[in-house]
Amino acid sequence: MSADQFVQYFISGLTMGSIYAIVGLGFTIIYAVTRIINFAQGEFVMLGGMLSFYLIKSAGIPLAPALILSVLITVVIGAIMYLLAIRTARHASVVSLIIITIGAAVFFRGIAGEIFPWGVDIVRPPYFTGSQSIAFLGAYVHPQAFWIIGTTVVVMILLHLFLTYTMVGKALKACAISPVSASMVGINPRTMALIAFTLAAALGGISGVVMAPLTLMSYSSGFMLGLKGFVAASIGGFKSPVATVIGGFTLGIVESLAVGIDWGPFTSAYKDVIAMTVLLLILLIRSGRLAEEERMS
Amino acid sequence: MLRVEKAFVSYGRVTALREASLVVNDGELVTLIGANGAGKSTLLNAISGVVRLKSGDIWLDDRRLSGLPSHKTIRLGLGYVPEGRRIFGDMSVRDNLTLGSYFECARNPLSALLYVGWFLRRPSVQSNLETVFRLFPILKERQKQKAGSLSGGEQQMLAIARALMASPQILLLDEPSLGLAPTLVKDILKLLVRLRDEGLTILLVEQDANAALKIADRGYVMERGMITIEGTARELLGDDRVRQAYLGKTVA
Repeated sequence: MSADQFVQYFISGLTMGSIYAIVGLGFTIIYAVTRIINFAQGEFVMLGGMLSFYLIKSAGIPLAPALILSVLITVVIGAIMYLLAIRTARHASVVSLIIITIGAAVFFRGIAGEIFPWGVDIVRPPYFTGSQSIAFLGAYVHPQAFWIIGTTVVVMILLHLFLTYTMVGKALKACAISPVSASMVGINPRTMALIAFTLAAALGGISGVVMAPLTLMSYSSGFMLGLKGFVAASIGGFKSPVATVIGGFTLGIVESLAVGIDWGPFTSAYKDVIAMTVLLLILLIRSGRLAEEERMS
Repeated sequence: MLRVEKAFVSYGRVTALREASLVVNDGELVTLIGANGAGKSTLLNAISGVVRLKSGDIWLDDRRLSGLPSHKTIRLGLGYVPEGRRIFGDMSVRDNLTLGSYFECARNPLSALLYVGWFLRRPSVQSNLETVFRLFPILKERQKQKAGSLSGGEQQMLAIARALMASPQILLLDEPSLGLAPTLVKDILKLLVRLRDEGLTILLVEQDANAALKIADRGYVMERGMITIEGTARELLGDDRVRQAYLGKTVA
């Protein structure tokens, strides 16, 4: 691989990695506050992307308002999902709640394949600022890639500021430490759970609208995206946002570089295999560590 | 005034409280003593809403606490220092105290989105923080430290301080002396007397019956989920049954 090629693949890895990171953050936030692993996280991304295409192409809404509206609708869907499917099952165990999220994911996928006029076809919403590639360190970078990386980085910074410097952020953190302790200072853990789902849906929706023009989107795209975010989050142990972000970028870059290397019979079709291999390795290492932690406590 | 009327609590088939009743008048320091497993913590948990009553009622003045979850009872004027302190170990001392005033955010949800520094500058929050730092100068010194890195005594002070940040009408404490060195226990009890003298109403659950009765105005003795003896602290200190069972003294 030449240096130019390396830069090319590296930047494309950063682009996908930033998406994985932000999807992973959605997993981490919900897990920290509720101990639920939300398997509908990838569907939020899909919904964001599909809604933006629908609003721009079918409803004829201008780009910027359409993007914002897509994210808002996804947020509302996330909140409704929590209120209808999770909150009502109040005495259910965490495992049951996780299974409910799988059900919600299947539901979103099914609905998305039915209600949009293009059915199960793959769609591509318009680029934000054209498709004239920009020369960058010997590589050619699509402007949408800059939009993806830029938006996700800004969102991560905003999220960090929100969680660190506002009262809600502190309350979410308190709830992550212990919902019972949090309720003893007047924090309602269920309100915090609603906020966590809303934030996660926002993260999903935002990543969906910025990535869809470049990566394309269909009703079934959510599953793989969710899985990649899941890998990023599990690198961070579902606890550390920083480790999740690092995990997401690492996964994106490893995937992209691996595709760039000439493996002979192995082609880019095996890209997803890498993520799954990483996941298996993490789960193998972690399950040992988890068992150890359990024995300790 | 806190009134507990025939509180009944069971966990599955195990009955933890059998129609326990007690009253804490405004400005009183009342102690609840009894052996391990007598139901003292369950009673405090029931008052604060952590566990639910099967039957009975709990009132704080004219506000009904029974049936409310704990985040609501806290907002109605209850300060709870639970067993094991339950401070947020990964957060700074200052953040722990700030969260003590979180009920303000419940009253005014938009303030929850504020930058914490601005929230702390609200007059009510700021005056509470000053009061708490006056009572516990050590917490002011350590406000940037992680709460988990404090010593046991300091963590207990932090738990009490955090409860005071909500300007409670009544403070419930569940064995604040647990695991502390005797001198620290003395400090904590002295502090409770001081808070009472400043007008705070206190309900104290304590293992060390002798120490608790020495500072309390009145006391209740709990056995197997029931209140079996009640009276002024002086009466209880002189009561033969109490002396024998809880003060480790043989009756002449």
